[in-house]
Amino acid sequence: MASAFKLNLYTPKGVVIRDLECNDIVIPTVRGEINILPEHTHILTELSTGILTAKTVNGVRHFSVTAGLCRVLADTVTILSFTSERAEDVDLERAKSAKAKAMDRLSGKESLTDVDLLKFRRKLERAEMRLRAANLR
Amino acid sequence: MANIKELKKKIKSTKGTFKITKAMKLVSASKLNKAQARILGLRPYSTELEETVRTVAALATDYTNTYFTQRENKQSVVLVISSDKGLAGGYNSQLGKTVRRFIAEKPDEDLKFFWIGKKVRDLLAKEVNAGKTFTFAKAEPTYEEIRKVADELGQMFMTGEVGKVYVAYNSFISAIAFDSKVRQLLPMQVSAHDKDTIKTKYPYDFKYEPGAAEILDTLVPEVYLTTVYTCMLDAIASEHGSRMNAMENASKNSKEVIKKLSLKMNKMRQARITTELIEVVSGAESLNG
Repeated sequence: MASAFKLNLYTPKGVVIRDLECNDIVIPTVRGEINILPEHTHILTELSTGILTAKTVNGVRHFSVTAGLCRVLADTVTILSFTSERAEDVDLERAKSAKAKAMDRLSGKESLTDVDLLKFRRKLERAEMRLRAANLR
Repeated sequence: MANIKELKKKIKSTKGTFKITKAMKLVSASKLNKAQARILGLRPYSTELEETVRTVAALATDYTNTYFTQRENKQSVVLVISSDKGLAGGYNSQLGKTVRRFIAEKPDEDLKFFWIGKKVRDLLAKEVNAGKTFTFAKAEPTYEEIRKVADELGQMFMTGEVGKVYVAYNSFISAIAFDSKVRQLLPMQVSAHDKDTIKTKYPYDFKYEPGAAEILDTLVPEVYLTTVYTCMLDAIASEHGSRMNAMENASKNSKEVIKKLSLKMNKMRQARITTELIEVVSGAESLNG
């Protein structure tokens, strides 16, 4: 029985991680978080914005992910996310200012169109998620 | 001899050309580096995405999506991605040739051409049914700009205005090589052969969350978009690669020309000096006489 499997994390901007040996991954999906352990069944699911946690022999790693796709196939987990960052790479200052900006726009001082409202809510969500990821490192 | 003066002038101007081509080569090399990083970063994502969709589409047999619809419509649209600037070796002419070959292969389709970059447009404009040219704020379009282009073409397909959408571009292989090709974007195809290979490769079905149809509904447009974006980045990287090589060759050639001209000039100068010396010596001899 395989005790470990590989994690690949790709984004349009580049490869975040390739062939990371893990034995336990928690993935945020549209239906809530799922936990992948070795010998997991083949599954294809949509990602949601959140933090992906991977346990490796060398410790726990965190990645921020946004909308995308997760494919578990045999002993490989492939994550295709629109944007993704390693927790250790998150720019704390930028995330904070992004959060402040989004909060400001959403505070209701100016009226927003539905599209903008959705856009800033997503921005806020992403910024908060990145801050959380940064705090986990 | 006035000829020496002329040669000097020629050498000087060739040196000027050499400087320019060398500078252009360096600029292209640095642009190529960036473009290469971008395309190589995107490729794993786009190939994985495409493969996943093909797999799911092959396994979920009863699934249909407008993106997969085969239409009787003979109208097709081709997006030709070339460059705005020349001096890139065979970059544009080769693509032009490939497009011509493609036209010859599809006599029964009514092709309309949309353009990114004006070079191949200018080359082919008189021979084909030329449509709109897309332009971007900067030389290298952003993802959002490409999304607009892709949406416009996708819309033409969705409404049934055209039956097929193709893209013609230069695919990046390495800094010194690219491959001109025409690729069918829509409708997306999963051939029977592919279906068989996929089915033997994955003899089990996936578990889908939420469901195969929902996943495909969001994925398929994403794949289409990513494919267009990949083509664009491919084209940009090959443009810089091709220009870098063209300029490298031009620099080499001008160096050679400079060498040849200098040799010729030096010979002439030597000949003149010799003649002058003979004149002086023979003059002195005759005085001594």
